[in-house]
Amino acid sequence: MLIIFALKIMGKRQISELQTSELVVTLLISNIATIPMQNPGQPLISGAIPIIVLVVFEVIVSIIMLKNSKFRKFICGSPIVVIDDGKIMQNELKMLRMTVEDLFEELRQIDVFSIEDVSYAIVETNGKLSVLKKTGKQPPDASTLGIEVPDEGIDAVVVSDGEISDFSLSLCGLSKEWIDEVLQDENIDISDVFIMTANKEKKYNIIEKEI
Amino acid sequence: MKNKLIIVGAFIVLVLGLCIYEMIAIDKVAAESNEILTSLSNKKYSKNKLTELSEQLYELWKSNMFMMAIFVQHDQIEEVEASLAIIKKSISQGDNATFQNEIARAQILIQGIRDSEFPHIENIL
Repeated sequence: MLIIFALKIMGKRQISELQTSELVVTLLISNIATIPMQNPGQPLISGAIPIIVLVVFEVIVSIIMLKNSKFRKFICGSPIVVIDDGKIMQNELKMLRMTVEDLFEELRQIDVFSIEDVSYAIVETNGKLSVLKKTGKQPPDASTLGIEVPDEGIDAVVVSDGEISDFSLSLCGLSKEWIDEVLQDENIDISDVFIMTANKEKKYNIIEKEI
Repeated sequence: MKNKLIIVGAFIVLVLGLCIYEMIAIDKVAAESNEILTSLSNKKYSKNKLTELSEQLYELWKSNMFMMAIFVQHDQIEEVEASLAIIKKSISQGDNATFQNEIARAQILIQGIRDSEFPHIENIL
């Protein structure tokens, strides 16, 4: 329970998105937690106190990082440009101890198969590669095509297994009365609804229960 | 952010509170135990007086067992408990050599517990 609570306080991030300090703290926490479990002679508190101290340390460090850019740079490092205007920066790759094969592998994972398509590639502080493709190689979007697309907002699950989600309703700016109206029009009882999704434009989709 | 700071603040208070309580409580038990052990080593006392003192020491240790078990390694507590039991037994058997040895051993063990729980530089390094 303490570990779950500790990780919750530290924030919702995936392992691959962890900064160095967060990764170190996470590994230490998991290591410390096993000590009292392995040794019944060890008091439980001898595992709990270091975990609490590490979490406190991590939260304090993250707050200082948020307020102080120099400290953030010292702890997390800086993003490094590995492809600058289409040119591979060999020194930077060497500094990162990253081979060209590693770079190509990373590029392929984000659907870039030719280095000529890349304008800039940056290795972020969490180790992920961000790529800006050359203008001519970027897929066109609505704005470049000059098409105006109405903002429909996100489709949210407003009814799940017969239960109305107040959070989703507020997200779409809808009300329970609207759901009642829709269900009445469709002649469906709410208890028969498996999933009902809706968006800000009041477009909805209902899937009825099969059983 | 504010909530996290409040939780972190509460954690700091909790940890500091626990550490201070632990140090005070263990220091108190160690001091009281040592006082009784020193009295036990007084050769002028009668067998009845020694039995009474050893009972007193055993009771003191037992009554603080729960608190000690929270903070101290259980092996260390059991070692002291075993030593106190030997002291009691050696008084009833009149085995003076074992009695004196165990008093010295118990003193060292209790002092060891106290020292290991205090934030000395030796403990940190």
